[in-house]
Amino acid sequence: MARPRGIRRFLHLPRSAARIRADVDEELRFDIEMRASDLVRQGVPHDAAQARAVAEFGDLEATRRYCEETDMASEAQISRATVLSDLRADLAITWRMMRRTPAFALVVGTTLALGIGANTTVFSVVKRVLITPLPFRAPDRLYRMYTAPSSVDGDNDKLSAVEIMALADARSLAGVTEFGNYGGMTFTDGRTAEPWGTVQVGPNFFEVFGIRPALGRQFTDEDFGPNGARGVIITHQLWQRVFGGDPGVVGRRVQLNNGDLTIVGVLPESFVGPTFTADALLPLPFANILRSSPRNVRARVLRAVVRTRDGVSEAALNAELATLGQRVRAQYPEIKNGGVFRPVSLHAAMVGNAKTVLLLVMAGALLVLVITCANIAGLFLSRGAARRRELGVRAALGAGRSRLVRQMLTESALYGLGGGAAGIALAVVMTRVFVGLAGSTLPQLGEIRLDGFSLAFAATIAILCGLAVGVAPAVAATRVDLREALGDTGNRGASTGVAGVRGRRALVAAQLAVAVVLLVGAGLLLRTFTALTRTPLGYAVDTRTLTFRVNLPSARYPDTSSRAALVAALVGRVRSLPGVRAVGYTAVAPWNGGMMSVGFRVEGRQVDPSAVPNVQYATASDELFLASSTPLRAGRAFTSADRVGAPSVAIISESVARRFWPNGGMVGARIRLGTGAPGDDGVPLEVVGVVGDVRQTVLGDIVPTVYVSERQWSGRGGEFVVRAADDASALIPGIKSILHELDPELPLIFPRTMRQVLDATIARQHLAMMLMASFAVLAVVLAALGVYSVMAYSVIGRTREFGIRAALGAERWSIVGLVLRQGATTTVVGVAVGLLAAAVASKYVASLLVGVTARDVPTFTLSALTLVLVAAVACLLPARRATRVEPVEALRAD
Amino acid sequence: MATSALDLMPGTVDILVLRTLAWEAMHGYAISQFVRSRTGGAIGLESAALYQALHRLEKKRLVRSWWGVSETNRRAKFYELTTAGRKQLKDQSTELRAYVAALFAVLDAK
Repeated sequence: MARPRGIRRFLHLPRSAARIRADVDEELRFDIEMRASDLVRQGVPHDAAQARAVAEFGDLEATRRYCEETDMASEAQISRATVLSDLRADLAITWRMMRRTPAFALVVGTTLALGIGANTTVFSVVKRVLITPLPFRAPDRLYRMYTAPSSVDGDNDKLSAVEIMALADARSLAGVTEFGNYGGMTFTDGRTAEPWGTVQVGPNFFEVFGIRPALGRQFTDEDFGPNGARGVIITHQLWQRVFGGDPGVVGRRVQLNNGDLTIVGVLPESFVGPTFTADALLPLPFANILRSSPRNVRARVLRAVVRTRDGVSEAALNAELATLGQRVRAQYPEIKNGGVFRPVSLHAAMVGNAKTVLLLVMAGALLVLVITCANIAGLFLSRGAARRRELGVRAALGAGRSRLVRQMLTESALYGLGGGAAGIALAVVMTRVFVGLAGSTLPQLGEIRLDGFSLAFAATIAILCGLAVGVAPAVAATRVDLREALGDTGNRGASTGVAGVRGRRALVAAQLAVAVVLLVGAGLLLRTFTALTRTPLGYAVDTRTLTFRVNLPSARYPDTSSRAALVAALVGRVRSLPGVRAVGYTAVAPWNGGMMSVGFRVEGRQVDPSAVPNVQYATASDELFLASSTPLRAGRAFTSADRVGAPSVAIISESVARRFWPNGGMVGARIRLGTGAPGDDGVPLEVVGVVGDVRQTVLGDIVPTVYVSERQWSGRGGEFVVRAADDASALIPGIKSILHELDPELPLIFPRTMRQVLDATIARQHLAMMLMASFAVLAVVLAALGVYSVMAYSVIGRTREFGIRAALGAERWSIVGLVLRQGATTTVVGVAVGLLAAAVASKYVASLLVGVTARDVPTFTLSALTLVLVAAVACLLPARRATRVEPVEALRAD
Repeated sequence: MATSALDLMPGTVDILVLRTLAWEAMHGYAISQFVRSRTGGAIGLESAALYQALHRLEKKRLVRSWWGVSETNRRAKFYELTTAGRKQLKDQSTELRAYVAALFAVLDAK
């Protein structure tokens, strides 16, 4: 009697209910028949024996039921245990496989770790910037108030005091807070001087945002009183940096711009400013503005954040704001585009177009992961083909299909989890690196780090990757044909795993498609970036030009002569530093955005007094245009002859010249600059020159500007520009020490080369482009590997066929043609699908593009061609191998 | 063959089955034959109780089964003791002996 214990256990397969019923039936029948045949042997007649055997058995039906139920229950028990022991066996098999092919395990594990790590990193950033709620009470009820509809990032967020007063009446709003006058103040403590970013906030600021100072108090009515600010509230970060987190900082007197202020509070650590990265808050005396001149009341200088009442919908808010707006327009018709209120959720306003960039990067990272998975799935498939024998043996020993699928999935899931664990470790490092690289281009919404969410995300994609990688080979494993797998000819002809090859070609086509999408995306961003860097700004943006600020506090430089004396000394000494070609200065530099508008009239021309044209105005020193490389188009620059007392002179930019003097004759013309208000005749000046136009940023429009002489108007300077013979950043230490000698309490603020200024304004586009470009390169390399491996595999499979063809006299090129044709189909399908997908997807990045459309034909064409070329090269290598097949060898191969 | 077999006390079927299987692996009918012949027919193991006991013991993993071929060349389900079954048999026999001894001590009391 056989006792096939081990194998029986090894092959134990769950019995179905029908099987159990049949087994019980057979077992009981056997008993009755044995009993009956014993009785027959004792001489009982056949029929009687049968009846007696049944009777002697006892309650047959109850027994049958009892046995079936018991067996089913124990079956369930066993299959639970089997799943666990199977899993243990699968893990053991996987471990053996990994040890046998460490290179494979390493490649797969590393690739997955990189993909998962990158995705987790990007997700952490996305989560912090786009998902985490702002650190305010009920932040979804906060809105930034914009005016005329244009882009969120544009300069359309300033309201006049009367408009803010109108908002305060809105029934749908629980509160309105205004803030403004972003700027810098110089903090001095006797030893050092450093610039603090400051912003003035209105009395409702803390109430509207729903925050409290972590230390000290908010501003009180006294702080907003007519005597001006005496209190300042500092950020947690400044408190740490400057005061070392001293708990006794509240009540401390500090010197800001030589005014004595008292620190009355410290903001909570989580505080983020609604539009700014200020170090300190000062009170904004809104009541004083209301009491001042009508012009001030109507000037658009204030930003506002509003809080809606609980339960007020955006539609209801907009409806009421429209009504209020009409009232403002009726009451103050002189405010241009007045009474246009456009609330934007504070979160959206703070995130701006970083949202598109982040989602784009996230999509890019996910696409790379998809390609990675497709590639690894391909590796598994081809290895699956090599393991057909092993799988065949296991199937022959009784392992069912579900059992084989489970083994393949266990293997890939293990890779997924391993890759995930390594990916998380990588993400910890990558997040730090990413924040270091990109931190300044992201909205400052708090610290970016890996948290539970990120870990859950990593785990999820790790499991998904494991499944995605394992499904194709698992399905292929179910198609194992025992005879073929075990037979001697198992590895022979082209027929080997036709389905597998087809699956792999589909995977490769998918990889090519994704690579096309990424390449198009990167291409569009690259063209945008080039367009941005080539946008003529009207001034040099190279490393040979240096810019910095010096703020002269009115308290110690009360009059024009004292300011002019310091600026003259500074300019004179910097000018004599070796390598300096020119030194210019201005009150407001276009790249710092601080231009002001002024009413512009040409003497002798009639204009409608209510519609005096506005242009921007700035001051300029004699050498400003020389230093900033702004070209002089006509006339002359300012000279030392343009002093106070001499006739007032002006220089206009080309666009002003074109607008007011379309037929020329502007040099020598007389103009008047003023407020443009009726009754204000303005100040007379003579136009002495024309210079090139400037833009504030690469994304901005040309700013029509009139320049007045620094010497005649301000003498105060502010923004300095130094043109050097070569690298201008080398001048910084020299300039710093000159300034220190002149006045040790004046800090050198933001010394940067103009290249750095430019880089900072396009850092976000630069980062997006760099990330997408690296994703695209990765995608192309992975797709090329995919094409190569599937073609190489197919060539090996067809060795015999090629041998026969060669033996029959086929030319080499015709064999190359055969291989290429096979690759070409895959490539064409993949690239075509990719182009279609890119055409659909590119409209989502349209808002990031400058100087190029979302359907840019050259970019699409070039991306497609690149991939076709790469795929062709990847096909050619295996094709060359096909031509080297020796007929005799190929035919003898088995 | 005796027709008036003793009624079995609850729990004794299991121990009879285990004890029989300790001899060797056998199918259900062989077990009942074995018990009958060993007790000279005094104990008639009703088949209904026997098969219920076998399946119950298998669920408790005290016995295991497989399909084999009987002495008459027919497919039959064979049972054998597991290690756990052997231990259970030893424990229960000790218990039962003690119980029976105690029982006799009362019955034989003079």
